[in-house]
Amino acid sequence: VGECAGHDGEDIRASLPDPERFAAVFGRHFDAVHGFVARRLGRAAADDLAGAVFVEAFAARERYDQARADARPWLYGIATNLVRRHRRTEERRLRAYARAGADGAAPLDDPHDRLSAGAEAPRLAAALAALRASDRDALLLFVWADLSYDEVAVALGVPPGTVRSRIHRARRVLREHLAEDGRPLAPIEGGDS
Amino acid sequence: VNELDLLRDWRVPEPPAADVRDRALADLDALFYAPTMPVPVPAPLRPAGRRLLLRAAIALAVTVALTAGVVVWAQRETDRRLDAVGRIHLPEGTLSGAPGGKLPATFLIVGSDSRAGITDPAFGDPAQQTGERADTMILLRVTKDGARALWVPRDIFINGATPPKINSLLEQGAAAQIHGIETLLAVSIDHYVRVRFIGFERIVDALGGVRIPIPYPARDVRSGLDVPVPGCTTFDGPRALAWVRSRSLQYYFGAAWRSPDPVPDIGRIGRQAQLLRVIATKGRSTLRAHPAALVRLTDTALRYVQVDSGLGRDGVIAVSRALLGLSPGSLDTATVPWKTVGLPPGGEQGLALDTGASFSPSGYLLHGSGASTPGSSPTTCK
Repeated sequence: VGECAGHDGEDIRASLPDPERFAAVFGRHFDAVHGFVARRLGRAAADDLAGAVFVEAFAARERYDQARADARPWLYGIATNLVRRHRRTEERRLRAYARAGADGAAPLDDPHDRLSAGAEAPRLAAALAALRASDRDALLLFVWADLSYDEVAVALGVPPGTVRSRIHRARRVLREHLAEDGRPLAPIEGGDS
Repeated sequence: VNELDLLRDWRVPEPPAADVRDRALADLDALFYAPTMPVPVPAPLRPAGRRLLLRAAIALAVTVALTAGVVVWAQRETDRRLDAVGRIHLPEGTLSGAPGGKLPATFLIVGSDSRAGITDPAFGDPAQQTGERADTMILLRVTKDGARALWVPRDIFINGATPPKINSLLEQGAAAQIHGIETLLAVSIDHYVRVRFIGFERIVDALGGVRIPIPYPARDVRSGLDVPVPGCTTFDGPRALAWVRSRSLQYYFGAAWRSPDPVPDIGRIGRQAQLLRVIATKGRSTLRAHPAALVRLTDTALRYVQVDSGLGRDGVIAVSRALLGLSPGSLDTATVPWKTVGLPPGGEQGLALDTGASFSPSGYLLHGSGASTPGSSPTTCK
């Protein structure tokens, strides 16, 4: 069964009378959705939330546009909604990451975060923390979930033009932060306590 | 290198741990069978130490509640379905089995030709099908360790080389058929089960289709089967049914359409045995991934069976699951030894029991001796 790409719309249609068929959608996309949430909130959070994405998707499957063969925009949209409920956690993590990187200390409690060093990582984290939440959602769907502008628009339920301007604005903020090469990072408020 | 490339390479995630995936799928699986849809509430994130403890406690509580709930619900569903299973009342003394259905036991499974429920015109107009003929007869020996299925060719004569064929006995009633098979094969039949073919269609669909190896382009203009491209082919329920019902199968090889079956009925038996084994394999792997599917598959199977009035609930479940390979242990298949009968011109074509064969039907059923797989391609599909 798993050898072909599969059509999410058909499986979701089939899952209306026959819920088990939804397992095919899970099988195709769970790892990617988990990875996306892990990137934003850390692995521990992703272990909890990635499953919840599919539980919500399953409950809402009647509303899925079955003509769409690829359910990723829909699933990432649900994932983004769930991540948004943990916005403070995400921003706290990013700021701590930026701070720890600046101090040269090992960042955070998540061992997998340490795997990705890179001199720019602290500045990237600071930049992401500084973004408007809606801009960050659009940007990360575009870059990390690998969606097109149109797909991001579907995921967020906003017009493509809005996606375009959000991503444009987010990129500018990123560039500004990265350009601060050699200069001390802008002071960052501790948000933890 | 621009800011997007930097971001793309940053914190590239590793795949989730296998147990995380399994747990998420189990959560989803529980919903598949839940009678009502619970509203999902994502857990808030908490500091690590307390979170772990709390998570363990919640997981335990949820597991206990869910397991208990699913078990109770499944039991109730199965009971309800069992009460609704059709009963066939046979004259007293027809069957050898004691009332109940203790294992091991030998079941006569009759795949009935009943067109009820089949709307495909390829199978003929239901209104024109009168009476009921046994399309497929299987003796199924179910033990605690597994099951053995022995196909009885429908065209076999019950008295050496003279009519009637075993197939036509059903018109005289199930009792005549049971008695005829017992006499011919020197076996005793404990219970009687009638299966509607449409049930296999539904089971195949419930399993999400099955993969069958097709060696050549294949067709059967009468059953509507059409497989233009050979190879491992996914069959949904209706196509799987067309495959196992096909009595005029043709393969395209040697630049022509040719029948691969020296005797059509025997070729068909091979395909039926093959489908049963494929269903069993698929059923088992489905159960490994989704244990709760057992309830659903059993439930589906029970809709399409009728059993003798003496068979108890446990027996009904045992035979349904054995037939689908859902019970523990293996499912072996074999065919009654047969030979073609030298016919007088214009006489009725048929088969005769090959009494010279070393294979003994009762030895196979009771002890599994001389097990052989009826002729079909040994290749399997992943």
